[in-house]
Amino acid sequence: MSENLINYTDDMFEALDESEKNSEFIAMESKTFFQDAWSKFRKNKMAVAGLIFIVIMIIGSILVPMFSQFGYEEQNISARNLLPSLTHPFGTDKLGRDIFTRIFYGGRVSLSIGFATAFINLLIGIIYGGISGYIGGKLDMFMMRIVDIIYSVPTLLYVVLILMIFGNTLGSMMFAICLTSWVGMARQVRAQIMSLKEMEFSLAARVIGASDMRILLKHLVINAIGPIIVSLTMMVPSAIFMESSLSYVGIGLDPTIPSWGKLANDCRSLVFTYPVQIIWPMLAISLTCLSLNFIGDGLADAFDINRR
Amino acid sequence: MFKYILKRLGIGALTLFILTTITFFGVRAMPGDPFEQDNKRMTQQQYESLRAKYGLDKSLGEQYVIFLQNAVKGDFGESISKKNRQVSDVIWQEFQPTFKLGLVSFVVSMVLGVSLGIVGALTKKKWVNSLITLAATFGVSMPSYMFAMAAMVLFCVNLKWLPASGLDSPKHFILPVAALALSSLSMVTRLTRSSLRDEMNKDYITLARSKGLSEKLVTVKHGLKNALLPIITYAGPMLANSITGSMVIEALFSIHGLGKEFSTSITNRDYTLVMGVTMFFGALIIVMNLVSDITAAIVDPRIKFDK
Repeated sequence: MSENLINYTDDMFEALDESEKNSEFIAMESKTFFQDAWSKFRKNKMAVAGLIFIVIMIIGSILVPMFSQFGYEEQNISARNLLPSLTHPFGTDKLGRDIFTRIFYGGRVSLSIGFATAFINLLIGIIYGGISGYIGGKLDMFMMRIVDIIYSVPTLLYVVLILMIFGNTLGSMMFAICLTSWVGMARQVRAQIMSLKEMEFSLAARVIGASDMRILLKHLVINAIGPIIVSLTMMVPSAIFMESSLSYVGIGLDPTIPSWGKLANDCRSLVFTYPVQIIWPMLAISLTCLSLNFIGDGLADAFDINRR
Repeated sequence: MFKYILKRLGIGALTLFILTTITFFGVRAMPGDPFEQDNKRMTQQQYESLRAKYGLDKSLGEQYVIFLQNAVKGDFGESISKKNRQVSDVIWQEFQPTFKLGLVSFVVSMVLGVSLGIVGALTKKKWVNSLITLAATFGVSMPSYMFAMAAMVLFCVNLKWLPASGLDSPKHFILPVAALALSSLSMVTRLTRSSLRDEMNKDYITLARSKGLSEKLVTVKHGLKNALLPIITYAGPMLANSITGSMVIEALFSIHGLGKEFSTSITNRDYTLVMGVTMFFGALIIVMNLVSDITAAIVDPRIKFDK
């Protein structure tokens, strides 16, 4: 009898290879919200191209003015209106300034206006829209009336007025754009919070005794983050547009600040004689805004938002 | 419905009042005053009497009360920089070119945008759809003044097909209208395309098809009718935007319109004219929004007034 029994020895057992451990486990590797969105975003070629372009513009705006052999204000009367060459990749303008350096210096101005105002809007929008949507009732009515009023004010007119009162500096330009555009974000956040606060997880959080602050920020705002990020990317180009059109007409920033709108304004008188100069600021603004639009579309797909 | 309109009008009036108040104190807070330019040529006495003529010697509060009293009566006073001209006359006269331009570009973007959107949503050819989507995205991403400038170089300088300034003939309208309509046209195209596409995938369309209705009837009578609803809500603000937003285009094409008048009146510190134009634009936007919302509610019975 005893011979029939298999003698189990240690060498008959061998540790399973690490790779086979979960081979019969039927599920995808669990991903966080952002990992999932990123893997979808990566498949959208236009969006990735947009992202790469924006990153290049940001890095270029930081580095090019630092390392360029020309200053952005450095004039050279003997080298006016040159066509693109090796020393001046984009040529020179009517005062002999290097357009390549000026475009990237202008990028500092225009991009910081775009991104800074978008983030300020985000902050105000989350606080204002969050409170309004979460508390609701009379307070919500009152707060939304204010939003309605600001919403129906002609934006352009107010930006002009504010610039006149506070001077045409970078700060007042940002202030003016924020003052008129935060309402869009506030409305968006409020609508999201209103529908999310009726959901079960919000009730559950309340039942276990979470504070209002915690429910609002850690549960509601976090769940609304997708649409919020998408409208954030759309806010950047509209701020860049606003600034550049005003500077282009000559009622925007101080003329010594070379934003992209101002650069286009510089070429305005030369547009018939040296049309090549207008191409650079035009490309800079259009490609930046196009990239941000593509990124926004890509994010909307990635976050699975039904957006029109 | 009547109650709703009344309520909206009330809110609109309140908005206009707040707008007026902010502008009133805003323009007066700007550095300088209307007589700055000729200040050096004037004696102190002349300067004082000019200020007195326009009531600027009174305290801010008093000026505000007087302004409100007159504004309620529809009297916005005399323009300071344009001698002997009523603000309402100036606005009325300068508004005509702006209005024509805005209206034409509104019609163009509506008609063309809706048609392109329908083609984009219904076409079986993939490249047509991608082309329309791409063009619409470009249209949204390109500042109108830059488009105008590029078009100017091409059509006025190189090809010499179109005039570059003024608004004298239908030919003059082509470039400013194209520039002004660019972004709203793209928006309408995008909106129509996505809205119609959503609508055509709904159950009632499948039902209509399975009843044996012709594809044309299904698309036009069922799909399109519902798909155009969001566009109605968008149309009012869009018309208001194309009228108020022509400031840049007017400057570029040297058209004498209200947008240009507004920017020069601010530079001239023409208090009365700034007030008049702001109130006019504000009222225009408020009314357009209201008209748009009411039309949408009449067309779509699902929208309830008693919110």
